[in-house]
Amino acid sequence: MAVTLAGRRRQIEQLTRCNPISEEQVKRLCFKAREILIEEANVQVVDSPVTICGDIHGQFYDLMELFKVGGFCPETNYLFMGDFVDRGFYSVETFLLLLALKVRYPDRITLIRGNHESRQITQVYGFYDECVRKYGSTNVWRWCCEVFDYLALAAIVDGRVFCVHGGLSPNLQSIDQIRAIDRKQEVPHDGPMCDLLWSDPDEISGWGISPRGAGFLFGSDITKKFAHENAIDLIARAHQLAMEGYKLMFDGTIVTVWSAPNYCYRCGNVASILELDEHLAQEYKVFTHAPSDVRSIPAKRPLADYFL
Amino acid sequence: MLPPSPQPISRRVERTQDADAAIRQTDSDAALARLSAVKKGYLTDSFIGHLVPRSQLQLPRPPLINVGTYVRSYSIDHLVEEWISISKQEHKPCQIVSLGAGSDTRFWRIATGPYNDYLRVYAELDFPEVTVKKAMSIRKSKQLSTVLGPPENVSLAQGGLALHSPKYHLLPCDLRKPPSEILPSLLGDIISPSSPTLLLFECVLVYMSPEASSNLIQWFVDYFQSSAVSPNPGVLGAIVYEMFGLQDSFGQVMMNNLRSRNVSLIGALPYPSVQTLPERFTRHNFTMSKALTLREIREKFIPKPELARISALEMLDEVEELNLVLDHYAITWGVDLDPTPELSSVGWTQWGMRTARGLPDGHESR
Amino acid sequence: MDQAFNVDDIAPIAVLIDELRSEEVQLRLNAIHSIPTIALALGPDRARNELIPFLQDSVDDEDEVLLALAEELGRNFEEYIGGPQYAYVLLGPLENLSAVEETLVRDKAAESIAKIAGVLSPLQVEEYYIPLLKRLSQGEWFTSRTSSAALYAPVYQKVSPALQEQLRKGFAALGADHTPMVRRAAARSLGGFVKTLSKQHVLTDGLPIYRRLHGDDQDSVRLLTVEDLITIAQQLTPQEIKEQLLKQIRVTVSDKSWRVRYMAATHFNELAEAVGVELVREELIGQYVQLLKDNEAEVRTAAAGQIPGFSKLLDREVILARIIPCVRDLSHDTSQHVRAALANQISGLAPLLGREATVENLLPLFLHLLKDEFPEVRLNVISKLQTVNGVIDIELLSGSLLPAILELAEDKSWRVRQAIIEYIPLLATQLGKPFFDEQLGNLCMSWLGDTVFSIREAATINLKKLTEVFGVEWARVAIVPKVMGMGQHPNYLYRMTTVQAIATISPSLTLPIIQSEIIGPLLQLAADPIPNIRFNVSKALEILATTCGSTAEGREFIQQKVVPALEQQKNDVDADVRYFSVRALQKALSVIGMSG
Repeated sequence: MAVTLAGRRRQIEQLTRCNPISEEQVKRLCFKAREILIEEANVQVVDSPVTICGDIHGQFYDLMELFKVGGFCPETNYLFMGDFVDRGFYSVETFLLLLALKVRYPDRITLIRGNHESRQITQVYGFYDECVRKYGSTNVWRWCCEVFDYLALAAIVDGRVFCVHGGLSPNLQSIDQIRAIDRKQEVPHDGPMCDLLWSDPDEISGWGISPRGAGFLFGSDITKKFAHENAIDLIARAHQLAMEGYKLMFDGTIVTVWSAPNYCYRCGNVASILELDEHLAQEYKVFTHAPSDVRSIPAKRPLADYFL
Repeated sequence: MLPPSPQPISRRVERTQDADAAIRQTDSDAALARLSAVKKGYLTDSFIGHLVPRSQLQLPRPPLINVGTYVRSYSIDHLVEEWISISKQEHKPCQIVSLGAGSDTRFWRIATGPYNDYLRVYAELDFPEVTVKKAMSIRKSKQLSTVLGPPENVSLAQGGLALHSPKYHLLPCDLRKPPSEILPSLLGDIISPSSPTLLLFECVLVYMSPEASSNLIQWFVDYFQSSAVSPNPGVLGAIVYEMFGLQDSFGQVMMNNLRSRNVSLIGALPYPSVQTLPERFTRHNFTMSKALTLREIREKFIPKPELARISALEMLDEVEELNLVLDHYAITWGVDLDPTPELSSVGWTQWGMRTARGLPDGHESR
Repeated sequence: MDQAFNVDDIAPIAVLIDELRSEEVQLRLNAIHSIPTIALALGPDRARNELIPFLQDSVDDEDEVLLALAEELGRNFEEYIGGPQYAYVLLGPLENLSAVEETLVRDKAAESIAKIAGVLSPLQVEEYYIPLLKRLSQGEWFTSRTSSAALYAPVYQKVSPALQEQLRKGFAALGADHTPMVRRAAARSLGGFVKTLSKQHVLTDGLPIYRRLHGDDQDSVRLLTVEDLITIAQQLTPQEIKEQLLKQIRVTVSDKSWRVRYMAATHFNELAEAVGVELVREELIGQYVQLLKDNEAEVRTAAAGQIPGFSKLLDREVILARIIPCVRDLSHDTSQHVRAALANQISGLAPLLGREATVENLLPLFLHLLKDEFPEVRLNVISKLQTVNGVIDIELLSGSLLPAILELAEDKSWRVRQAIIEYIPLLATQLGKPFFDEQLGNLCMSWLGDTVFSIREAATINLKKLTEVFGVEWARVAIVPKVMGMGQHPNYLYRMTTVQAIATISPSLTLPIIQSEIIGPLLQLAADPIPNIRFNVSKALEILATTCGSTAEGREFIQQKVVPALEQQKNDVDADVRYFSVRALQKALSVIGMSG
């Protein structure tokens, strides 16, 4: 049953052409991925240099654009901060490619969990439907959701840059407290694990109620306190559309990195990745969406939604 | 940012097949969105299912579209009901003319609700391709046709393109043509120049040249001008719902996306901001004209319990995107009162949106 | 022995009925696509007597499913129901499908009916097809009348003159239908129908139908007559065209609806070819110029797309006098789409104009378009410059374009930079070494430090191609030192460029250069703190081993330098370094014959 490294490479090549792999291959890939992810910590320790990416949301051709700008894995080290799936047309290919890279090069790529890596959300926002459409059954969706449960909740680069999909939680003062969470479950509706994946920084003081209906809003004071107490230089997070690709807040203690250009093929935004070099110097690389060609939007799918 | 590459050949061929098919398709989109919002519990509408083919098989739309459809519907319903209730206060049953009506169910909703008695006439105008299908749907559906009145009072005309009933009229036309060539024969026997009349333009003017929409509005302004034939003309009101402010990157993407579906938003060009929208009516010397974006309406006008109810229906996870989209749609409304003071009663000038606290609001031109 | 698969027991139709009840559209679609299999299982008689009636009466589904059914029935389905003599049976379900609301389904059903017409005997056509065509043509709702238009041409030549006359009248009635949808269908099918008519009937029947539709008050009908016009013109002599169609051509090109003019513009070359050279020169050139100057950008874009094709029909003097002034205007057009379309086509004029006229008239326009504010315009010019190379000397072209190229080499859009890089080897071939070194050398090296990975990668490939153009000695002096210098960059992604450039260029270099210039710095990078650099060194060493293995000196080099380095790397702390070094080591050892 073992898949050879050459077989993994062929799988990566196939997925890089946006061709889905067979259901049987998905099953094995997900099984192998769980074996690797189960060994990772809730807050996965990552070494610099590394390139940090935000939401991708199934925009496969824009992920290819990201790699064209940032370099391909394994030559470039990557840390993806979740929301691989939903919204775009190619969640299946996007997530499976990232997963195949993770399985083949576990030390070169880190995947952490976003709020869309959840059974409940993927049933509303497209990943579930896409799996059924492309495979004719719900198996692939179920296997992927099982992998979601094993994804790390956060990562820390050289002990200095804290990376999380959403943000902070009023129930978590230290990074060590995150390590105590039992993460291998569906994203709960509330509590610290939910907050890490759902919260947003905002120009308030203290904590606020999130308009998303999950997680919290947190202000500059909270952010700076967390950074100070945990000896962190920077909190990198994703989760919120940034029209300019990234958004630094609170005197540079926190940054939103957004990696889905022209989000939902509709928003008109640019995207970015954050390159941290071996000295943790930050360089933001901004990029635009892949040039539209015939393949990037399937002929039979409706285009971006508007009210018409 | 790189512009999209030239349209693929297939698209070009498609556009040559039938140039307006894409614009008509926007109506199916709107009807599907409404059906989805109804199925998900945002809206109540027992009629829309009869106007969408195989409605039971249609998949729901994304939550953002459902929320936007709800806000759109809430706003227009609110303004229309307010209009009819002012007609009621003034003891003047009103007329509604819906231009580019598509699969709208508003007539059926009014006719089966408390305001039916204050509605004199409801006329819908659209492309013949649209009216013929709607006429077919009405004929096929008992629920739709019984609302129109006894069968002997309902008749098809123009080979099935038009339908007439005591109150409701379905009329085929191309609204981009000079109004004086099409409207007198279509509407002349149907609407009266002395009744208060509300024009509805839901996503229709945006597909027309600014000149054509201007001509259209002006025709109605002239029709409701006092004259020898009509010494006491009715008050004219109008509601426009559509996209605007397309000069930014979101708008450019929208124009390009719709362009690749062969839809051109030429009507949006003169309106870069919400402040410019009321000019649509003030340039025709309307007495009052105001505009609000869907984002403003969602944030300030929809009652909190309603917002809580709809946010419980589906998880809407991204507020930035929702606001970005709702920022590019607006409701503009205006009223043209006769200069004679006794007719310019307070009621009509107060017509508008009400905040949850009952305060009227809206961007006025300058 | 497999009793479970006895076809009689599983009642194929019951299975189909069951599958068509599924909630998932995909499964219902699969069911429809399996009807050939089901028909095979049933055998021809039962397929004809049970399956077809079932499909005719019971399938009402989503458009996608109906579309699949219309398609399946047109894929030689008669083979499953007893052969062509029973093909008429399929007309039943297809007639239903050709009356549904969804256009795509109706079109597909009509297409399948037309296919079936091909296998019907003349008697069957009269008995089954003509009555169906009459029912559809006179249907109550527009849907079936719309579908009927496409069904006249397939049988016209198969029936008696009396029936032919009825068909001509039937088609004319569709052209005068009161709903625009039916008139559009007639306009769409008129060309195909006219092709089946005799010359006499083209004139007596085809032309009047065309004129009626051409004068329709709906522009959506009128625009479809452009293709009919071309088909009819193809059936007529130039003299007849002049007498019968010239007026319509003029009216079409100046139609008040831009959509009609757009159609005329997109089909202009076909039209020109159909009417013949004489009319082109007398008449159509004027119409074409009018379209190039149209008020609507869409029309100008379409017309610009036809420039070289149309100009081929003209003399050089006429191009210069009539077309070039328009081209000049279009290069300053307010719409970027127009300029992009022009940029795509303009180089096609060079071969028609020849050297002198190109230099005088086109070169300034190239320069202008290369500076356009929209990247697509610039890209289109660059990617088509090769057409011009053949017409004018490269020195002249590059001499005048070089400043613009240098500017684009630093374009904001990395795809523009990439397009320029891909053009460099060609320029190098034609400019020669000294000129290249002076003008472009630094530029080529600066791309190695680009912020975008793809540009750094393209830059290394470019260096390899340049090495092939200018030779190894040139590369040793001009390229290698600079590439190796990048290996000191503080950011690992740039050091990576050095390693990858070595891997790319080495196969084009010689062993002495590799020994003296490359291997030293490369082995230093084998101890880089960043594992990504280290395993790319392994990959580069693998390539060196492959490249150098063909000579004794080379094998000695591998033995002395490459193998020891890899031996060390295979004990690296990083798993990826260990993997790639072991792979490279196996390769190296096999090259020098030390491993099987």
